[in-house]
Amino acid sequence: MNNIVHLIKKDFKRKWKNPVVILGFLLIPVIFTMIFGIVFGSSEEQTLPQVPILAVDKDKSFLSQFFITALSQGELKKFVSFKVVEEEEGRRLLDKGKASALLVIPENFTEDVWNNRSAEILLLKNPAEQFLPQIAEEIVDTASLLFSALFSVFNDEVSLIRDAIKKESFTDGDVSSLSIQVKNRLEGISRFVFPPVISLKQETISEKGEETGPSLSVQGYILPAMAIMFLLFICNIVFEDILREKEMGTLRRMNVSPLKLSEFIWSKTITSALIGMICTSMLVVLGIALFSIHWGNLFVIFLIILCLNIMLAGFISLIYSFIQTERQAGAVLSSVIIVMSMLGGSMIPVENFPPLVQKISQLTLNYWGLTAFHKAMQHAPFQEMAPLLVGMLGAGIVFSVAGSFFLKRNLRKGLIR
Amino acid sequence: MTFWTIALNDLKLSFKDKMFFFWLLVFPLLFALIFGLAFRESVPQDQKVTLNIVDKDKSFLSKAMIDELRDEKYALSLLDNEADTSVRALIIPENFSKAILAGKKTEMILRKEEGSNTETSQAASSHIFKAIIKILAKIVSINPQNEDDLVQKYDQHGFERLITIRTELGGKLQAIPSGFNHSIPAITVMFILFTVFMYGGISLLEERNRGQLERTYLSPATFSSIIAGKWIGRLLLGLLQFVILFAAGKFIFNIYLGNSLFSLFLVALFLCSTAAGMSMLFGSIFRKMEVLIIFNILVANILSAFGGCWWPIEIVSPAIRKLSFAFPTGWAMDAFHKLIFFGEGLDALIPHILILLGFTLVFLVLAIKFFNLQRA
Repeated sequence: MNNIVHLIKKDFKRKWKNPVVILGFLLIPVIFTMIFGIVFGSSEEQTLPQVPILAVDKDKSFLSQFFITALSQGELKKFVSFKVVEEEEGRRLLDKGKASALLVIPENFTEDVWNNRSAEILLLKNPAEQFLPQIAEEIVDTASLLFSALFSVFNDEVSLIRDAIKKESFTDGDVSSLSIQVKNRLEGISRFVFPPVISLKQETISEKGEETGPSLSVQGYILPAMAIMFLLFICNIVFEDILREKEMGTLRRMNVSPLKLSEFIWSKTITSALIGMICTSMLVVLGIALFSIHWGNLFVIFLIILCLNIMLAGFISLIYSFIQTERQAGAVLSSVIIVMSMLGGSMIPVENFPPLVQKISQLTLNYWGLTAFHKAMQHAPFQEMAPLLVGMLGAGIVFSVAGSFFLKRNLRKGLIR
Repeated sequence: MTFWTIALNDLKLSFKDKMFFFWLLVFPLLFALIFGLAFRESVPQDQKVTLNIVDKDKSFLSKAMIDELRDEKYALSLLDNEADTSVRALIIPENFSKAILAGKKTEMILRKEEGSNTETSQAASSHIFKAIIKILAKIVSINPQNEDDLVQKYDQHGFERLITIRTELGGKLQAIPSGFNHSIPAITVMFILFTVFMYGGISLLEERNRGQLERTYLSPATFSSIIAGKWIGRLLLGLLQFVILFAAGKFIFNIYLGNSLFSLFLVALFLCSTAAGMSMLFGSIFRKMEVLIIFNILVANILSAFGGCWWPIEIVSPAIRKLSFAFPTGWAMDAFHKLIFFGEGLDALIPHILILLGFTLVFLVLAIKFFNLQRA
């Protein structure tokens, strides 16, 4: 045990003398989080920018103008920005990518709608955009549905006015009977519509059917996601020393000393886990200081840091037991880490993937670590955290034992050869 | 033609690295696949949105609501037990009908499972909202006094949309861009930077540290031919990355490449020339390998992120959109979009090419200024 402690101290001293790489890998998640913060803001509710829509009014009539105005009023103003343009200019601007959609209201729009004939609005979407044109389509479609509903509700009254206009005679009696009819209709409507009697509430639940805690901020997602990816690289830096010492011959020298090979390997695993824990703790503190991330219960976070780093160190030790040279390590490890991070949610949230890929994601270390951090941030009860912590710790122990066994066997083979 | 020999030799040395093809082909394609799947159409045409319904009221109006929700794009399933719901479920409360007829507020709940697809959930909520509008329009038109009155008149009051919407794509093309059409250009730009920075910068530092650069200078090669050779070597590396990824995009992911392959190539040429200049500059100013690697990772990622390679640039604020044009990646991405999605030709790309040329000149001049044959 003494030997292991000595080796750990020696490794710490060496890393302390040249901390550039570890600090660099520590800096990357912080910078990534900063970028995401700058781009998407720090709000816990993800917000999209206003959807720029161009509108061409070929009818220039009362209803067409009313339709366009209605689309840029009230709450909608927050989501869309409307600019009325001539068709040629609108198409030119859309082709330049200056708007997400171009709405074209056809000639005779008012006449058609007024006469209960269907009217078709054209919505040209920016082909280079994926999301904003869809929002534009949803908004315009809903508005047109509301307009249609309005005409459907007031169909009788509109018919009366239409007939009167056709007859070109509008007596005082007609006006008063129409007024009474409209008043009655409005009274009938107000019972159901002001406010609407049917509303829709949305809620998110966990897999167990309980309502979830507070939503995560952008930084709250990115920092742990990137941290896990770069912690794997940091673990790799410690284990690289094994191959370096093997190539330099210092390991052979150690082998003839009273030091056991297993002690040497376990010292690397423990050093790797300890450095990982220090780095993760620093990132947690930086997360609080720079990005005001609410990590949740700090004792739970400590447990996550402990279990996560044991798992990561164990995993890297296992991978190293199949690696012969430093060059191989660079190739294999970077491939494994990048692919695992990509699938495990360190680059893209797992819920964006198709179901099959989501299932594969669950096999990655990143997924486990990230899920644990997110649950802690959302104040999940300890019973919910416990399986994740036990899983990570168990996996870490199994990986470390297997890694130690295979690494010892392979190193011994290499040394004898 | 000494510079040509130097350039080809650099390229040859890169080929010798076993990881080279992983970085050049396997990783980028994997990235493209994952990003393409993640940012695919929000509700793909061939995929139905799952919507479970728990009707606790089982009344005429709750059934009418379910009928309004029936649509070919939605896979509806009626469940008896609220606890059985998964993915997303609409819960129609008890006394739904009674409350509506009495003019009292009633609240339906759209329950989403944590981790369910956000876009499809939004599509579902929008679909439900439209169904509510249709139901309310009918109820208001009927203005029923009781449920029997409603049942009797409900079917007589058909609701037809007077105003409909036809959607088309803008631009000169009428191709529907898929997730891969978006992800391949972005991944290409990002990996051009990674490959050129990593292989170009690191090999320059290694050659300097091993004294190989100095040795080359002792040969008949002039300083300018060494600079030109190194720059062209890195440029070719980037172009190779571009050709491989766009060819894979075309033949594996069936992406649309626009009307002018020549213009695409020209944009890539100028982006690669900028990246080549940058990699030489970084390889010249840094003395430690590990610092250079970390710096390369950071710069490549920052340029990719702000240039619009990590996420669709449309979802960022207008200020960040403008900021993207401070980076060569922003101009390259915009040029690719113009060619691929809008079907533009070379004439629309003159500003892009001139600005990328400007970036190249700046970085090349700086690279020459800091270029050192000897180890410091």
